[in-house]
Amino acid sequence: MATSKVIDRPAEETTTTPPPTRRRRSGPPLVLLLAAAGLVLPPLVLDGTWNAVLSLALIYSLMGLSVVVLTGFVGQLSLMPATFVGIGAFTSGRLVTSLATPFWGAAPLAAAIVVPVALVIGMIALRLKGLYLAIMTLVFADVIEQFFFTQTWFVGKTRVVDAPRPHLGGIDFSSDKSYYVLVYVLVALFMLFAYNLSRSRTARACYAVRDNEDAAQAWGINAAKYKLIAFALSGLIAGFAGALYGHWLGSVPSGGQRPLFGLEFSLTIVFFTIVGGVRSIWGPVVGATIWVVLVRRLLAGSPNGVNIAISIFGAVVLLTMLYRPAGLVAWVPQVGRRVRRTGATSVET
Amino acid sequence: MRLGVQDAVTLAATFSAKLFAQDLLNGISVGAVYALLGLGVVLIYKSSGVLNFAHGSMAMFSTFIYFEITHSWSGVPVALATVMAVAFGALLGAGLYLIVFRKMQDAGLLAKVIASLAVAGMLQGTAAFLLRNTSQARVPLQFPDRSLRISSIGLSYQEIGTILITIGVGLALIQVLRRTTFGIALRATAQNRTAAKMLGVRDTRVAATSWAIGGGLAALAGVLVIPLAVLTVYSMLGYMVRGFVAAVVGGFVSLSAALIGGFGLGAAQEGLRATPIEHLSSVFAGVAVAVLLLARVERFFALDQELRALQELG
Repeated sequence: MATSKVIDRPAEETTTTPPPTRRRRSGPPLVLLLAAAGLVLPPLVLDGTWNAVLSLALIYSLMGLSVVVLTGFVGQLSLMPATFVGIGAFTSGRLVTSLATPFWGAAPLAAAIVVPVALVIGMIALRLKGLYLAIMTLVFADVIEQFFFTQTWFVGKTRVVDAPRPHLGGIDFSSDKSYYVLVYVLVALFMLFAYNLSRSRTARACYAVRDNEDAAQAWGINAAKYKLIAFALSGLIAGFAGALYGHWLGSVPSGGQRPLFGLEFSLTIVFFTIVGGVRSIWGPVVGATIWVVLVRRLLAGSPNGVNIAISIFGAVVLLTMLYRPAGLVAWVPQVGRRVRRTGATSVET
Repeated sequence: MRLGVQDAVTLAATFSAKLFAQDLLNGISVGAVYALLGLGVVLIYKSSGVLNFAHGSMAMFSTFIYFEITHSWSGVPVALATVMAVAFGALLGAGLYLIVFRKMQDAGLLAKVIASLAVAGMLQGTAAFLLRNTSQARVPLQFPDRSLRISSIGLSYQEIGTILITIGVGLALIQVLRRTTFGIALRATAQNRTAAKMLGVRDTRVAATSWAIGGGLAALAGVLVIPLAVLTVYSMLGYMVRGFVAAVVGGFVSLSAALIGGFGLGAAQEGLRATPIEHLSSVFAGVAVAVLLLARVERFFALDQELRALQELG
């Protein structure tokens, strides 16, 4: 691979200019202040319900982040993010309740189990281009639902997997406020990782593959490698989000007429990510917060809240695709400039 | 659902040719629905390059209209209600193209897929909201509620009607594409949009017509199959996915392959139910599509120019 490293360099120089260091020096204190406020304020100021809603928004952001890594970075559309989330949720719950694994081992393990599944899809994606990949993931989501999520060996005899909230030594994370703190810290770590990733050499190679695969290959970028990396990371993030989601729910239901981790959930994740901005790591945070607050608070009283919200979001996604493909984050000047600089003016693949 | 060795042995012992024939016949009638949906998906893809993930939702919405007509205006004959539902489906298809997808003609493939998903979300959500007070609505049959029996194998008139209508519509559509000006214009657009436009093909009109036909076929599929099941917001989604599989058989370009693919998929899937490997029936479509896609089956059905056009799109 020594040769490819040498040839890699010109491509990365043409795609991005190095970020101005002067502005960054004044940045961190404000960011840290905001981050600290996000950690401390909600548990102190808001009630338990709001804390539960906000932790759900953070977990959904993580699910959206898995879409950003895949669709935003390398331009592969998967219609099964919710399936990955489901594998994470069921696995973590089963590990905790049936095998008495502590949450701290179960959640990472559940995320790790999703990686090989995602890699299988990724290897198929190397052979199938956009359209066919979308169909394939749609069908695979159904196969996994039938072969895993409805089987008693996977979800237990009761078909409902219990996923209790964790505790660490004497600290109990079972209340909504304390679970918010835990989720916040874990999601923040993932965001930090994604932020660094999005400015790394790997990400720049991914952008090149996304924007023009043939050109990227011509520059010596191994497109297959970066696609597989993106699939693995996407699976890992979705799986971990699933584990957090499972323990947020407390018990994870399976099967039924309208399965929890079905197409509807996948669509929801893709929708709010696109509305927020599929090419920025902050896009899903914005989109997920709007979605969760809309469904869990504003429309919480209506029995058809989710249906109304899906209609609204469908319409907003259409408007986004037609008029502002970079999503809501493009309104934020600094992020917008960054998104534009990486060539993210539209979702073209 | 999981079968032990004991169950497999019993099942193998109880395998009967009659049961198999019965399941096969039922499969052909279900396959007709896949074929109708697949034809529409192919037509829409050929004319506008959109893989229409809203196809099932369009079918469901039109079926809902059919249910409302027969339910609230009791005087309307079923045949007229069916025609009205199909007309609604056609209007819905053409409207969606003119309002949404015409603007996305030059957008990337992924953008079009996401837009069609968004339309699907809108239709699903709206229907669920409108249907909120009718849980699992019963929809009237178009054909007499009896069945034709030969020895112990039977098929209801509704199913026979579905099969015959699908074959008729499918063959008619293939002829339309072969012989009429519209068909030639459509095939020209599918092969090379710019050249077709330069030669005077009105691509917007061609695409809108195709969307109308596709929407009408989706509505037809919905109103024919739902009377045998129950109408919920989700009842057409499974059919849509299998309609995609039928379209995949022809690589999204060949109508005749989609027609055959739909019937074949239905027959194979239901036929499996009477065999010892019954539990594979529910995932047969998944396995089939994986094999079809990875083997690039479209090579056998599509013309060279069409394939080239397909590669340019994808």
